[in-house]
Amino acid sequence: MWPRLTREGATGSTGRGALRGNCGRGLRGRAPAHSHASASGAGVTTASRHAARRYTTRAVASVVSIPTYCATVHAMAMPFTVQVRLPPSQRAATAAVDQLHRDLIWADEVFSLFKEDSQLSRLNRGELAIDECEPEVLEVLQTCEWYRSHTLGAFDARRSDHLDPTGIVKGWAVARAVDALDQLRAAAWMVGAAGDVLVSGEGHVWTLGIADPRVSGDPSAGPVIDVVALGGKRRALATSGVAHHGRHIWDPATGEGAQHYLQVSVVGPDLVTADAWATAIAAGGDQVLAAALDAGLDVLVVTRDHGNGSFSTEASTGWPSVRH
Amino acid sequence: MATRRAMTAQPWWWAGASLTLLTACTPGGAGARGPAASDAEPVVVPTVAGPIAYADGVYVGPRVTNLRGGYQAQVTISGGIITAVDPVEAGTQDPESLQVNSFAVPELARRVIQAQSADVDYVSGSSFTSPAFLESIAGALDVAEAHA
Repeated sequence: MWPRLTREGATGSTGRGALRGNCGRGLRGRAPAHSHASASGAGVTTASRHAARRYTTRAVASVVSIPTYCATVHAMAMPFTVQVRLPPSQRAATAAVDQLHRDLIWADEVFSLFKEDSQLSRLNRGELAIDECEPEVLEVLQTCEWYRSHTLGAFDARRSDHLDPTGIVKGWAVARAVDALDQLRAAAWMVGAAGDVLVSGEGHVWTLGIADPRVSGDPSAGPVIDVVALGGKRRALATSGVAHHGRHIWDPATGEGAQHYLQVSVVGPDLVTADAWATAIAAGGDQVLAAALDAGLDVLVVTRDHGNGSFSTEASTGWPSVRH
Repeated sequence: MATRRAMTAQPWWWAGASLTLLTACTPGGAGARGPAASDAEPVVVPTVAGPIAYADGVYVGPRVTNLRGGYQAQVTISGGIITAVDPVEAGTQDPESLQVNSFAVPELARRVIQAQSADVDYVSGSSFTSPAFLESIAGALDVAEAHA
Protein backbone atom coordinates (compact mmCIF):
# COMPACT_ATOMS: atom_id res chain seq x y z
CA MET A 1 0.00 0.00 0.00
CA TRP A 2 1.26 3.43 -0.75
CA PRO A 3 1.81 5.87 2.05
CA ARG A 4 -0.70 8.57 2.71
CA LEU A 5 0.63 11.80 1.42
CA THR A 6 -1.95 14.28 2.48
CA ARG A 7 -3.71 14.98 5.66
CA GLU A 8 -7.34 14.10 5.99
CA GLY A 9 -9.35 16.36 3.78
CA ALA A 10 -11.26 18.93 5.73
CA THR A 11 -14.94 18.80 5.03
CA GLY A 12 -16.26 22.15 6.04
CA SER A 13 -19.23 23.99 4.76
CA THR A 14 -19.21 24.86 1.13
CA GLY A 15 -21.93 27.42 1.09
CA ARG A 16 -22.17 29.38 -2.12
CA GLY A 17 -22.04 33.09 -2.43
CA ALA A 18 -19.09 33.68 -0.14
CA LEU A 19 -17.37 37.01 -0.39
CA ARG A 20 -14.55 37.22 -2.84
CA GLY A 21 -11.11 37.84 -1.40
CA ASN A 22 -9.00 40.78 -2.33
CA CYS A 23 -6.72 38.71 -4.44
CA GLY A 24 -9.40 38.04 -6.99
CA ARG A 25 -8.35 38.16 -10.57
CA GLY A 26 -9.75 41.55 -11.28
CA LEU A 27 -7.64 43.20 -8.64
CA ARG A 28 -4.71 40.88 -8.66
CA GLY A 29 -4.13 41.28 -12.34
CA ARG A 30 -1.83 44.26 -11.93
CA ALA A 31 -0.43 43.35 -8.56
CA PRO A 32 3.34 42.98 -8.32
CA ALA A 33 3.93 39.26 -8.30
CA HIS A 34 7.69 39.11 -8.22
CA SER A 35 9.61 37.34 -5.54
CA HIS A 36 13.11 37.78 -4.32
CA ALA A 37 15.59 36.20 -6.66
CA SER A 38 17.50 34.58 -3.84
CA ALA A 39 17.25 30.84 -4.02
CA SER A 40 18.17 30.25 -0.43
CA GLY A 41 16.12 32.87 1.31
CA ALA A 42 12.41 32.42 1.40
CA GLY A 43 11.47 35.59 -0.37
CA VAL A 44 7.92 36.76 -0.26
CA THR A 45 6.50 39.46 -2.40
CA THR A 46 5.22 42.68 -1.11
CA ALA A 47 1.89 41.96 -2.71
CA SER A 48 0.24 41.62 0.65
CA ARG A 49 0.99 45.20 1.49
CA HIS A 50 -0.50 46.30 -1.78
CA ALA A 51 -3.39 43.97 -1.28
CA ALA A 52 -4.06 45.47 2.11
CA ARG A 53 -4.16 48.90 0.59
CA ARG A 54 -6.43 47.76 -2.18
CA TYR A 55 -8.52 46.04 0.36
CA THR A 56 -9.28 49.30 2.05
CA THR A 57 -10.69 50.52 -1.19
CA ARG A 58 -12.60 47.33 -1.67
CA ALA A 59 -13.96 47.36 1.86
CA VAL A 60 -15.66 50.64 1.25
CA ALA A 61 -17.40 49.13 -1.69
CA SER A 62 -18.33 45.82 -0.13
CA VAL A 63 -18.97 47.04 3.42
CA VAL A 64 -17.83 43.79 5.01
CA SER A 65 -14.06 43.58 5.36
CA ILE A 66 -12.24 40.30 4.96
CA PRO A 67 -8.52 40.86 4.64
CA THR A 68 -6.67 38.37 2.54
CA TYR A 69 -2.93 37.94 2.55
CA CYS A 70 -1.39 37.29 -0.88
CA ALA A 71 2.13 36.31 -1.79
CA THR A 72 3.95 34.68 -4.67
CA VAL A 73 7.09 32.65 -4.15
CA HIS A 74 9.22 30.81 -6.69
CA ALA A 75 10.58 27.29 -6.39
CA MET A 76 11.16 24.47 -8.89
CA ALA A 77 11.28 27.16 -11.58
CA MET A 78 7.59 27.75 -10.98
CA PRO A 79 5.51 30.46 -9.35
CA PHE A 80 3.47 29.49 -6.30
CA THR A 81 0.67 31.89 -5.44
CA VAL A 82 -0.57 31.82 -1.86
CA GLN A 83 -3.73 33.43 -0.53
CA VAL A 84 -4.62 33.32 3.16
CA ARG A 85 -7.97 34.56 4.35
CA LEU A 86 -8.17 36.07 7.81
CA PRO A 87 -4.67 35.27 9.02
CA PRO A 88 -4.04 36.02 12.72
CA SER A 89 -1.57 38.67 11.64
CA GLN A 90 0.40 39.67 8.61
CA ARG A 91 3.61 38.72 10.42
CA ALA A 92 2.29 35.21 11.05
CA ALA A 93 1.15 34.89 7.47
CA THR A 94 4.54 36.01 6.17
CA ALA A 95 6.31 33.51 8.42
CA ALA A 96 4.02 30.71 7.24
CA VAL A 97 4.62 31.52 3.58
CA ASP A 98 8.38 31.66 4.29
CA GLN A 99 8.17 28.17 5.76
CA LEU A 100 6.15 26.92 2.81
CA HIS A 101 8.75 28.40 0.48
CA ARG A 102 11.60 26.70 2.33
CA ASP A 103 9.80 23.37 2.14
CA LEU A 104 9.29 23.72 -1.62
CA ILE A 105 12.96 24.61 -2.11
CA TRP A 106 13.94 21.57 -0.08
CA ALA A 107 11.78 19.35 -2.27
CA ASP A 108 13.42 20.83 -5.35
CA GLU A 109 16.89 20.18 -3.98
CA VAL A 110 16.00 16.55 -3.39
CA PHE A 111 13.95 15.83 -6.51
CA SER A 112 15.11 18.15 -9.27
CA LEU A 113 16.27 16.37 -12.40
CA PHE A 114 17.87 19.61 -13.54
CA LYS A 115 20.16 19.80 -10.55
CA GLU A 116 23.13 17.50 -10.96
CA ASP A 117 23.57 17.15 -7.21
CA SER A 118 19.96 16.45 -6.27
CA GLN A 119 19.41 13.12 -4.60
CA LEU A 120 17.23 11.99 -7.47
CA SER A 121 19.93 12.85 -10.03
CA ARG A 122 22.50 10.98 -7.97
CA LEU A 123 20.14 8.04 -7.59
CA ASN A 124 19.63 7.99 -11.36
CA ARG A 125 23.39 7.98 -11.92
CA GLY A 126 23.79 5.11 -9.50
CA GLU A 127 25.79 7.19 -7.05
CA LEU A 128 23.20 6.76 -4.31
CA ALA A 129 21.17 3.75 -3.34
CA ILE A 130 17.53 4.30 -2.49
CA ASP A 131 18.16 3.65 1.19
CA GLU A 132 20.83 6.33 1.21
CA CYS A 133 18.33 8.94 0.03
CA GLU A 134 15.90 10.88 2.16
CA PRO A 135 12.96 8.61 3.02
CA GLU A 136 10.75 10.94 1.02
CA VAL A 137 12.43 9.76 -2.20
CA LEU A 138 11.16 6.23 -1.73
CA GLU A 139 7.80 7.59 -0.67
CA VAL A 140 7.45 9.59 -3.89
CA LEU A 141 8.62 6.75 -6.11
CA GLN A 142 6.25 4.32 -4.45
CA THR A 143 3.48 6.82 -5.03
CA CYS A 144 4.41 6.93 -8.71
CA GLU A 145 4.06 3.16 -8.84
CA TRP A 146 0.67 3.35 -7.17
CA TYR A 147 -0.56 5.81 -9.78
CA ARG A 148 0.96 3.81 -12.61
CA SER A 149 -1.07 0.78 -11.62
CA HIS A 150 -4.23 2.80 -11.04
CA THR A 151 -4.11 4.82 -14.26
CA LEU A 152 -3.75 1.80 -16.55
CA GLY A 153 -0.10 2.67 -17.02
CA ALA A 154 -0.76 6.11 -18.44
CA PHE A 155 1.03 7.76 -15.56
CA ASP A 156 4.56 6.38 -15.52
CA ALA A 157 7.71 7.74 -13.92
CA ARG A 158 9.96 5.20 -15.62
CA ARG A 159 12.13 6.35 -18.49
CA SER A 160 14.48 4.20 -20.50
CA ASP A 161 17.48 5.12 -18.39
CA HIS A 162 16.23 7.04 -15.39
CA LEU A 163 13.30 7.74 -13.12
CA ASP A 164 11.27 10.91 -13.58
CA PRO A 165 8.65 11.42 -10.86
CA THR A 166 8.33 15.10 -11.83
CA GLY A 167 4.66 14.56 -12.58
CA ILE A 168 3.78 14.16 -8.93
CA VAL A 169 6.63 15.92 -7.14
CA LYS A 170 4.94 19.29 -7.39
CA GLY A 171 1.68 18.10 -5.87
CA TRP A 172 3.50 16.08 -3.26
CA ALA A 173 5.72 18.99 -2.28
CA VAL A 174 2.75 21.33 -2.00
CA ALA A 175 0.80 18.83 0.13
CA ARG A 176 3.77 18.70 2.46
CA ALA A 177 4.49 22.42 2.48
CA VAL A 178 0.95 23.54 3.31
CA ASP A 179 1.47 22.24 6.84
CA ALA A 180 2.74 25.72 7.52
CA LEU A 181 -0.54 27.22 6.32
CA ASP A 182 -2.64 24.77 8.32
CA GLN A 183 -0.78 25.76 11.46
CA LEU A 184 -1.65 29.39 10.87
CA ARG A 185 -5.23 28.71 11.84
CA ALA A 186 -6.48 31.20 9.34
CA ALA A 187 -10.01 30.98 7.98
CA ALA A 188 -8.88 29.46 4.71
CA TRP A 189 -5.98 29.30 2.28
CA MET A 190 -5.33 28.61 -1.36
CA VAL A 191 -2.09 27.69 -3.12
CA GLY A 192 -1.82 28.06 -6.88
CA ALA A 193 1.08 25.97 -8.10
CA ALA A 194 1.94 26.85 -11.68
CA GLY A 195 -1.56 26.27 -12.94
CA ASP A 196 -2.73 23.70 -10.39
CA VAL A 197 -4.57 24.58 -7.22
CA LEU A 198 -4.90 23.25 -3.66
CA VAL A 199 -7.27 24.85 -1.15
CA SER A 200 -7.75 24.33 2.57
CA GLY A 201 -11.18 22.86 2.05
CA GLU A 202 -13.02 24.56 4.83
CA GLY A 203 -13.92 28.12 5.62
CA HIS A 204 -14.27 29.42 2.12
CA VAL A 205 -15.39 28.45 -1.35
CA TRP A 206 -12.77 29.47 -3.87
CA THR A 207 -13.73 30.43 -7.38
CA LEU A 208 -11.32 29.14 -9.99
CA GLY A 209 -11.12 29.60 -13.72
CA ILE A 210 -10.22 26.93 -16.25
CA ALA A 211 -7.77 28.40 -18.74
CA ASP A 212 -8.56 28.82 -22.40
CA PRO A 213 -6.44 26.10 -24.05
CA ARG A 214 -5.57 28.40 -26.95
CA VAL A 215 -3.70 30.78 -24.69
CA SER A 216 -0.04 30.13 -24.04
CA GLY A 217 1.98 31.66 -21.28
CA ASP A 218 0.60 32.76 -17.96
CA PRO A 219 -3.03 31.63 -17.93
CA SER A 220 -4.03 34.15 -15.29
CA ALA A 221 -4.10 36.90 -17.88
CA GLY A 222 -6.25 35.14 -20.43
CA PRO A 223 -9.91 34.25 -20.78
CA VAL A 224 -11.38 31.23 -19.08
CA ILE A 225 -13.65 28.58 -20.52
CA ASP A 226 -15.27 27.58 -17.26
CA VAL A 227 -15.51 28.65 -13.63
CA VAL A 228 -15.60 26.11 -10.83
CA ALA A 229 -16.05 26.24 -7.07
CA LEU A 230 -13.50 24.51 -4.87
CA GLY A 231 -14.07 23.75 -1.19
CA GLY A 232 -15.11 20.99 1.17
CA LYS A 233 -13.91 17.65 -0.14
CA ARG A 234 -13.07 19.18 -3.47
CA ARG A 235 -9.68 20.50 -2.51
CA ALA A 236 -7.58 20.30 -5.63
CA LEU A 237 -7.76 21.21 -9.31
CA ALA A 238 -5.15 20.33 -11.92
CA THR A 239 -5.13 20.99 -15.65
CA SER A 240 -3.05 19.27 -18.31
CA GLY A 241 -2.93 20.14 -21.95
CA VAL A 242 -1.02 19.69 -25.11
CA ALA A 243 -1.44 23.07 -26.71
CA HIS A 244 1.32 25.03 -25.13
CA HIS A 245 4.30 24.51 -27.42
CA GLY A 246 3.88 25.27 -31.06
CA ARG A 247 0.80 25.33 -33.18
CA HIS A 248 1.65 22.34 -35.31
CA ILE A 249 0.02 20.06 -32.81
CA TRP A 250 -3.12 22.07 -33.34
CA ASP A 251 -5.00 21.42 -36.55
CA PRO A 252 -6.60 24.73 -37.57
CA ALA A 253 -8.67 23.02 -40.26
CA THR A 254 -10.54 20.83 -37.85
CA GLY A 255 -9.87 22.71 -34.65
CA GLU A 256 -8.85 19.45 -33.12
CA GLY A 257 -5.67 18.62 -31.30
CA ALA A 258 -3.35 15.87 -32.33
CA GLN A 259 -3.93 14.12 -29.05
CA HIS A 260 -6.92 12.78 -27.28
CA TYR A 261 -8.08 16.04 -25.76
CA LEU A 262 -7.11 19.66 -26.08
CA GLN A 263 -7.12 20.05 -22.33
CA VAL A 264 -7.95 17.99 -19.28
CA SER A 265 -8.94 19.37 -15.89
CA VAL A 266 -9.43 17.18 -12.84
CA VAL A 267 -10.97 18.07 -9.48
CA GLY A 268 -10.05 15.75 -6.65
CA PRO A 269 -9.43 15.43 -2.93
CA ASP A 270 -5.73 16.29 -3.11
CA LEU A 271 -3.28 17.79 -5.57
CA VAL A 272 -1.22 14.65 -6.18
CA THR A 273 -4.34 12.78 -7.19
CA ALA A 274 -5.71 15.55 -9.38
CA ASP A 275 -2.35 16.19 -11.05
CA ALA A 276 -1.58 12.53 -11.70
CA TRP A 277 -5.00 11.86 -13.19
CA ALA A 278 -4.96 14.99 -15.34
CA THR A 279 -1.60 13.98 -16.75
CA ALA A 280 -2.70 10.39 -17.23
CA ILE A 281 -5.94 11.31 -19.00
CA ALA A 282 -4.12 13.72 -21.31
CA ALA A 283 -1.72 10.91 -22.20
CA GLY A 284 -4.10 7.98 -22.25
CA GLY A 285 -7.44 9.24 -23.50
CA ASP A 286 -10.88 7.78 -23.01
CA GLN A 287 -9.97 4.59 -21.20
CA VAL A 288 -8.04 6.46 -18.56
CA LEU A 289 -10.83 9.00 -18.33
CA ALA A 290 -13.25 6.19 -17.59
CA ALA A 291 -10.91 4.89 -14.89
CA ALA A 292 -10.74 8.37 -13.36
CA LEU A 293 -14.53 8.56 -13.22
CA ASP A 294 -14.61 5.13 -11.62
CA ALA A 295 -12.16 6.42 -9.04
CA GLY A 296 -14.63 9.16 -8.13
CA LEU A 297 -12.87 12.12 -9.68
CA ASP A 298 -14.55 14.95 -11.51
CA VAL A 299 -13.22 15.70 -14.94
CA LEU A 300 -13.67 18.32 -17.65
CA VAL A 301 -12.14 17.59 -21.04
CA VAL A 302 -12.02 20.03 -23.93
CA THR A 303 -12.61 18.01 -27.07
CA ARG A 304 -12.86 20.56 -29.83
CA ASP A 305 -12.08 24.17 -30.60
CA HIS A 306 -14.72 25.72 -32.80
CA GLY A 307 -12.39 28.55 -33.73
CA ASN A 308 -14.69 31.34 -32.61
CA GLY A 309 -13.88 31.22 -28.92
CA SER A 310 -16.25 28.39 -28.17
CA PHE A 311 -15.28 24.86 -27.25
CA SER A 312 -16.93 21.50 -27.07
CA THR A 313 -16.40 19.97 -23.69
CA GLU A 314 -17.38 16.87 -21.83
CA ALA A 315 -17.69 16.91 -18.07
CA SER A 316 -18.51 14.42 -15.38
CA THR A 317 -21.92 14.94 -13.83
CA GLY A 318 -20.35 16.12 -10.59
CA TRP A 319 -18.12 18.71 -12.25
CA PRO A 320 -18.42 21.75 -9.93
CA SER A 321 -19.01 24.38 -12.60
CA VAL A 322 -20.73 27.54 -11.49
CA ARG A 323 -21.63 28.33 -15.11
CA HIS A 324 -24.64 26.66 -16.54
CA MET B 1 -1.33 3.34 -27.90
CA ALA B 2 1.97 4.99 -28.37
CA THR B 3 2.85 5.76 -24.79
CA ARG B 4 2.00 2.33 -23.56
CA ARG B 5 3.89 0.59 -26.31
CA ALA B 6 6.95 2.69 -25.52
CA MET B 7 6.71 1.65 -21.93
CA THR B 8 6.64 -2.02 -22.66
CA ALA B 9 9.76 -1.53 -24.72
CA GLN B 10 11.54 -0.31 -21.64
CA PRO B 11 13.44 -2.70 -19.43
CA TRP B 12 11.18 -4.08 -16.81
CA TRP B 13 13.51 -3.31 -13.97
CA TRP B 14 11.07 -1.15 -12.18
CA ALA B 15 7.93 -3.22 -12.10
CA GLY B 16 6.38 -4.04 -8.80
CA ALA B 17 7.91 -3.17 -5.49
CA SER B 18 10.10 -0.15 -5.70
CA LEU B 19 12.78 -0.78 -3.13
CA THR B 20 14.71 -3.64 -4.62
CA LEU B 21 14.31 -2.56 -8.19
CA LEU B 22 15.15 1.07 -7.68
CA THR B 23 18.66 0.15 -6.71
CA ALA B 24 19.08 -1.13 -10.22
CA CYS B 25 19.02 2.40 -11.63
CA THR B 26 21.36 2.42 -14.54
CA PRO B 27 24.37 4.69 -14.14
CA GLY B 28 24.65 7.53 -16.55
CA GLY B 29 20.95 8.23 -16.80
CA ALA B 30 19.64 11.72 -16.32
CA GLY B 31 23.11 13.12 -16.53
CA ALA B 32 24.63 15.39 -19.14
CA ARG B 33 22.29 18.24 -18.62
CA GLY B 34 23.72 21.56 -19.60
CA PRO B 35 23.96 24.17 -16.92
CA ALA B 36 21.66 26.37 -18.94
CA ALA B 37 18.75 24.11 -18.12
CA SER B 38 19.15 24.51 -14.40
CA ASP B 39 16.25 26.22 -12.80
CA ALA B 40 15.46 28.18 -15.90
CA GLU B 41 12.61 28.48 -18.31
CA PRO B 42 13.64 28.68 -21.95
CA VAL B 43 13.26 32.41 -22.08
CA VAL B 44 15.84 32.73 -19.34
CA VAL B 45 18.38 30.55 -21.08
CA PRO B 46 20.36 33.37 -22.74
CA THR B 47 21.01 35.14 -19.47
CA VAL B 48 22.29 32.10 -17.66
CA ALA B 49 24.51 30.94 -20.50
CA GLY B 50 27.28 32.96 -18.87
CA PRO B 51 30.83 32.07 -19.75
CA ILE B 52 29.90 29.01 -21.78
CA ALA B 53 30.96 29.43 -25.39
CA TYR B 54 28.52 28.41 -28.10
CA ALA B 55 29.25 28.12 -31.79
CA ASP B 56 26.84 29.93 -34.05
CA GLY B 57 24.32 27.76 -35.75
CA VAL B 58 20.95 26.09 -35.41
CA TYR B 59 20.95 23.05 -33.15
CA VAL B 60 18.19 20.54 -32.82
CA GLY B 61 18.09 18.92 -29.42
CA PRO B 62 17.47 15.29 -28.70
CA ARG B 63 13.91 14.07 -28.81
CA VAL B 64 12.76 13.65 -25.22
CA THR B 65 9.58 11.81 -24.46
CA ASN B 66 7.28 11.94 -21.53
CA LEU B 67 3.65 11.15 -20.90
CA ARG B 68 2.50 13.93 -23.15
CA GLY B 69 4.53 12.69 -26.05
CA GLY B 70 7.77 13.75 -27.65
CA TYR B 71 9.47 17.06 -27.12
CA GLN B 72 12.24 18.44 -29.25
CA ALA B 73 13.76 21.88 -29.18
CA GLN B 74 15.68 23.84 -31.77
CA VAL B 75 18.14 26.38 -30.43
CA THR B 76 19.57 29.15 -32.59
CA ILE B 77 22.95 30.62 -31.64
CA SER B 78 23.96 33.88 -33.24
CA GLY B 79 27.00 35.89 -32.26
CA GLY B 80 27.66 33.36 -29.53
CA ILE B 81 24.38 33.93 -27.75
CA ILE B 82 21.09 32.10 -27.85
CA THR B 83 18.72 34.07 -30.00
CA ALA B 84 15.84 31.64 -30.30
CA VAL B 85 14.46 28.50 -28.77
CA ASP B 86 11.75 26.91 -30.89
CA PRO B 87 9.79 23.71 -30.59
CA VAL B 88 10.38 21.15 -33.31
CA GLU B 89 7.95 18.84 -31.64
CA ALA B 90 5.87 19.51 -28.60
CA GLY B 91 3.93 16.69 -27.16
CA THR B 92 2.79 14.98 -30.33
CA GLN B 93 2.62 11.25 -30.29
CA ASP B 94 2.92 8.53 -32.87
CA PRO B 95 0.13 8.34 -35.43
CA GLU B 96 -1.33 5.33 -33.69
CA SER B 97 -2.25 7.52 -30.78
CA LEU B 98 -4.64 9.34 -33.07
CA GLN B 99 -6.77 6.23 -33.16
CA VAL B 100 -8.77 7.41 -30.22
CA ASN B 101 -10.57 4.39 -29.00
CA SER B 102 -14.31 4.64 -28.85
CA PHE B 103 -14.62 3.55 -25.26
CA ALA B 104 -18.00 4.81 -24.20
CA VAL B 105 -18.11 7.14 -21.25
CA PRO B 106 -21.81 7.65 -20.64
CA GLU B 107 -21.34 9.68 -17.49
CA LEU B 108 -20.04 12.67 -19.38
CA ALA B 109 -22.16 15.70 -20.04
CA ARG B 110 -21.43 17.32 -23.37
CA ARG B 111 -21.75 21.03 -23.88
CA VAL B 112 -20.31 23.92 -25.80
CA ILE B 113 -18.90 26.73 -23.74
CA GLN B 114 -17.59 30.11 -24.69
CA ALA B 115 -14.31 31.50 -23.45
CA GLN B 116 -14.79 34.74 -21.60
CA SER B 117 -13.35 36.74 -18.77
CA ALA B 118 -14.41 36.10 -15.20
CA ASP B 119 -13.53 37.32 -11.74
CA VAL B 120 -11.85 34.34 -10.15
CA ASP B 121 -9.31 33.66 -7.41
CA TYR B 122 -6.94 31.75 -9.69
CA VAL B 123 -6.82 30.20 -13.15
CA SER B 124 -5.92 26.56 -13.63
CA GLY B 125 -4.01 25.95 -16.84
CA SER B 126 -1.27 23.93 -18.41
CA SER B 127 0.77 26.66 -19.97
CA PHE B 128 3.95 26.06 -18.07
CA THR B 129 7.03 24.66 -19.64
CA SER B 130 7.49 20.94 -19.79
CA PRO B 131 10.65 19.59 -18.19
CA ALA B 132 11.04 17.38 -21.26
CA PHE B 133 11.27 20.50 -23.41
CA LEU B 134 13.95 21.91 -21.13
CA GLU B 135 15.83 18.66 -21.40
CA SER B 136 15.87 18.85 -25.18
CA ILE B 137 17.12 22.44 -25.02
CA ALA B 138 19.92 21.36 -22.73
CA GLY B 139 20.92 18.67 -25.21
CA ALA B 140 21.01 21.16 -28.09
CA LEU B 141 23.21 23.49 -26.04
CA ASP B 142 25.58 20.67 -25.24
CA VAL B 143 26.15 20.24 -28.97
CA ALA B 144 26.53 23.98 -29.51
CA GLU B 145 29.11 24.08 -26.76
CA ALA B 146 31.02 21.14 -28.19
CA HIS B 147 31.29 22.96 -31.53
CA ALA B 148 32.67 26.12 -29.97
